Amino acid sequence: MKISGPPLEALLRRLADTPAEWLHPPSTAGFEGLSVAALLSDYFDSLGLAPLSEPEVARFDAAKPKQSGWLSLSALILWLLHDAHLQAHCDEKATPELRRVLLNWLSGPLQQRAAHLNAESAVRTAQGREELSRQLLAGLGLRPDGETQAQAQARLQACDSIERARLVEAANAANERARKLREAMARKAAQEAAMKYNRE
Amino acid sequence: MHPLVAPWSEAWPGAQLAWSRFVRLRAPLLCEHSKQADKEGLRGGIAMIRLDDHRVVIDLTQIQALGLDGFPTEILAHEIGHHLFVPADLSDHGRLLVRVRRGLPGHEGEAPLIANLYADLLINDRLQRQAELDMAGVYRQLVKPPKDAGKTSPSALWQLYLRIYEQLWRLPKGDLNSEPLDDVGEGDALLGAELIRVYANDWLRGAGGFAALCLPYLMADKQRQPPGQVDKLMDLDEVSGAGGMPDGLAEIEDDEAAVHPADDPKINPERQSGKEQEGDGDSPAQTSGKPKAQSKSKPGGGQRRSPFEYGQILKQLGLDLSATDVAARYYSELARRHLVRFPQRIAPESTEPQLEGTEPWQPGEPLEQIDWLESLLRSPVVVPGYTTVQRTYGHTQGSLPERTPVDLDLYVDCSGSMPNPQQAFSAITLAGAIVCLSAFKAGAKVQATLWSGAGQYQSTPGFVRDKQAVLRVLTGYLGGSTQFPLNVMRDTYDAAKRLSRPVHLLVLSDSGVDTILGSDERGNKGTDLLRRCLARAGGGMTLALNVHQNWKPKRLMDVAQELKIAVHRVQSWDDLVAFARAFSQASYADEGPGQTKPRKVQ
Repeated sequence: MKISGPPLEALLRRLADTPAEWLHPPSTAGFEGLSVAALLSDYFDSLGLAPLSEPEVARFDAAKPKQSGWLSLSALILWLLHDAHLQAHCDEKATPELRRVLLNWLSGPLQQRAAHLNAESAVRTAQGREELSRQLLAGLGLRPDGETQAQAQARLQACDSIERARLVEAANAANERARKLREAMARKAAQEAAMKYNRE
Repeated sequence: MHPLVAPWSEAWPGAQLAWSRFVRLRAPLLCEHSKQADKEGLRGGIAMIRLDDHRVVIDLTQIQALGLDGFPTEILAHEIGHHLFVPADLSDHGRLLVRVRRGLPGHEGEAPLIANLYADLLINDRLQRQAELDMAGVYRQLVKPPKDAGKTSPSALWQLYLRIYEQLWRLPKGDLNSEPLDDVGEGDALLGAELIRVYANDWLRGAGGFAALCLPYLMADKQRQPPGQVDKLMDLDEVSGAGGMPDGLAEIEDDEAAVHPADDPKINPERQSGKEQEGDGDSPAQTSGKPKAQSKSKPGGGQRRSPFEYGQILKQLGLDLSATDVAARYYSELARRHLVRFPQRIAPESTEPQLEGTEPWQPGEPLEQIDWLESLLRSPVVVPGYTTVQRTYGHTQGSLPERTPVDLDLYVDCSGSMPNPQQAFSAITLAGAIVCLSAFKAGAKVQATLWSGAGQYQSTPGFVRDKQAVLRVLTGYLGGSTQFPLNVMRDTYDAAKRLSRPVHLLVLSDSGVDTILGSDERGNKGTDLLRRCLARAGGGMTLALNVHQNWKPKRLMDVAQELKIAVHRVQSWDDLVAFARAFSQASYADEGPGQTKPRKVQ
């Protein structure tokens, strides 16, 4: 995140304006829909990089149906990569290294994130749009224009749904314990009130 | 002149604009000395808004000492927020406290603090994110430790509070809260931040959840010392205590339950899906298929809180009331929805009023009856009840029939079998309040007597129109043996040379009512006294008794039949409330003149 990238607002706007076609169900094993592999291959081609190989195509288009959430997020990432600022940045850095980084990021971190963030939220909610945009920039080693590295890092963490899920799970567990305590205290208070009433 | 007066005055329009361009409040009171601030009602804080006159009060000396000179718009707008947003008025402040108390079982005494934190979070978040004011800057300044501060262990509650701000405003960790939180604390701060956002436009419903979130931190804190001087901006306890009485707190609303944000699907959707998968339909958030906080706010089907809890809430609102006044307010509020027109009788002919002079006007009588000109001529300094007068009229014969309200002589049993109405709900007190307030509504006068053993009674000074005086008697407690106050009844009607209007006697009691047939301290028999008093009262008598259906003591029944006394039996004290309502509703209006028997109630 050392390099200043495009302004965040432009990416948020672009996500909010995502055309409906980009949200169509993606192709998976046994279902023909929006081909994420084709979109990605075309994108690499537009940068003058090698298109996807057969095994790489299969990784996307022959994915299991339960991975469709990840594929939909990947489609949104490709929509974002066509943003003018990002396109210019990637044109400039169009090397096999960029291709490798992008493929690894899509198959690894983005796939994990799909368990907590769906494409619908990533387009319709402000938090989802911000999370996906910041994660893409971080994946490319960029930070939003106008933000310091520390600010960008703090904001990236603040809208990280994986981290959120982990922390909320910890809070849930603590709440279970607290709930039992609250119920016991409420019972005790009721008993005391009843005793007081009886005394009177 | 204090150097901050000019810049802070200039910031006032901007502070109003932060909420709306239509806000037009009186200019703030910028106190140049702390003494002046104390005099205006600030109790150690730096700023407040008074809910009675909607005036913002600022202590400029403290502002300068805390280094907040550069945040005039932020602080002024924050105070305006208490008037326009949270809690806005005393009633909503009361409702806020009610919900917060539900989230703090065993720690209800901390409700004002938690309500204040919640209100400040809502206001500051709106100002920071929508009005783009630098509220974070105010807190950065406030968390700085004072120069003379010793080392104190951090308060878990305040750490959570500041971390919620960091989450809300995406500030770097440690920007406001210098002590790192563990994963549970971080998770709670996340939930707290989302609660503030989710319930920003429906803040009453989020209050219980916020309190439930804070409860473990309240319990963990050995001391409540905030970092730096953050508590200087705590001002909600100072906005109350003035500006009248809150309304609608005696009954329980159905959305008061406190749902922890971790159990609230609006805030934590994963929790809901997880519970659904586990088939756990009994979680607090899902008992009705949706969080209780989502259901519409309305009175909880007649459920009421206890007078004790009601008093605690008023106390936390900063209202300094005696237990009797609290109880009077409580029963008056509960009675209000049962009020109906009190029985009136048609007199043969109405009369035309003719001015005859003036007489003293007493508190409790309609304000509009004061003759201000005469009162001011009597004394330029108005002392209600002493220098106030009202006009008196004589009457000339008119031509149309007139409706005359029947005065009420109420006897309420308060022996040891009755609950203390100031501690627990008392249906007999509520029934009495319903009948009395209905009578006042119709223009009648009331004499209320609370009775227990021989010589144990409290009574209003005759027939009065003073609602408070009557409610004070009704909400009193004697709790002794049982002996109907025959002496009060005797003196009431023996002393009255001529009753201006007919009087209806109403006795609310149980089987102890049969003591009415005993003898007074002078040896007069109850039957004779009843005969004499009823003849003078001219408005009839009703006994409303909580007794079993077959309770029919022959002697009492014979007397009731002879004197045309209506006897109503109810099976529970709660039924007495229904009786009171029906009694008040039953009208004499259609009956011809001279008839004294009230229309049958059941």
